[in-house]
Amino acid sequence: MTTAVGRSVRLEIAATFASNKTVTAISLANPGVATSTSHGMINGTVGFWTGTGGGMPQLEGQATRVYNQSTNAFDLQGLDTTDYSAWVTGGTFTPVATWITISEAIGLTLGGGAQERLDDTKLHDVVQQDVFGVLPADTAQVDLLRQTVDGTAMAAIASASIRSTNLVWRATLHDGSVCVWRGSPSRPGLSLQRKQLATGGFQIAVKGLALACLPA
Amino acid sequence: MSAAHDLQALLLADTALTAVVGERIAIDQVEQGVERPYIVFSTQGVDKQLGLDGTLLGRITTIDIQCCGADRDDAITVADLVEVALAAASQDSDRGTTGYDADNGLEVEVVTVDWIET
Repeated sequence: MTTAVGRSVRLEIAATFASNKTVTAISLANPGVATSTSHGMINGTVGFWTGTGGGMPQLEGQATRVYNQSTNAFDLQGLDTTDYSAWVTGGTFTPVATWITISEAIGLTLGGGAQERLDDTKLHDVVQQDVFGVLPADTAQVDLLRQTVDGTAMAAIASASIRSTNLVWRATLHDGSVCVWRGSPSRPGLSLQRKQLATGGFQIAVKGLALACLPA
Repeated sequence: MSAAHDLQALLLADTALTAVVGERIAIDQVEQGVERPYIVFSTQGVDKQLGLDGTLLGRITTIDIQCCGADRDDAITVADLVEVALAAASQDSDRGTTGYDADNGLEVEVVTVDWIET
């Protein structure tokens, strides 16, 4: 275990995708295990899920990373599906083929914010009893030093923000551990201050969970 | 090239300034007894702006430019010309402290520039 640091962190978005993988089952386990005949993917492959609404709707749109793969199966690294709805049928996994680095990024914050507290107090209680409600939506915040003209990655992000398109994101930390998520970015901002480099940033509304700190 | 060398080249290319100080625009030190007015400057600090992945996105170098004259008006004239030259190159500057070096009979105006490279 190594303390994460904000250096040598590569933040990327997916640029192109490989062909969809048909998945025939996903276990209810930690982590969930997908069955996909001759999927051909290697460990570390990142992709996202679609068409899972028939059996495991919690997975719809979620990005996951392939781990512990075998010829016909792979783990959904870091994703606990134990309490998900049982898989019935359908579902595809679309793997990322190539990535673009967001070199302008100077900061990244991942998290879901404060969890809602629900009052579970009974008549006989002498103090209020609280329970946590459903998890708040995960979000990501990216801070930037803005360039005068957007590079490839920032142009793609700006375009996705206008069209509310979901992108697949990956942050690789200095020790090779990885965070992955999928979501749509807000419109990147720009702030100009005298005697400073231009800053900016955007937020990402995450589909499902942002999977942080996955071992390399 | 360092920011100091870039700054020196910028000032030497400014004809209005060199009409007053000639080529007496030096980094860090000047020779003893050099004719006045002259300019000497030194780097106070360098702030590298790195991306998360280590990409160098920019560099802000703070440089104190000492405009030395035989009298106050002389020093102010040179400092004004330095600021004009910096503004023309889109480099922001501030007027710093002024001073008098009694030992050498020097009037000094300091212009501080945050030299930004991207």
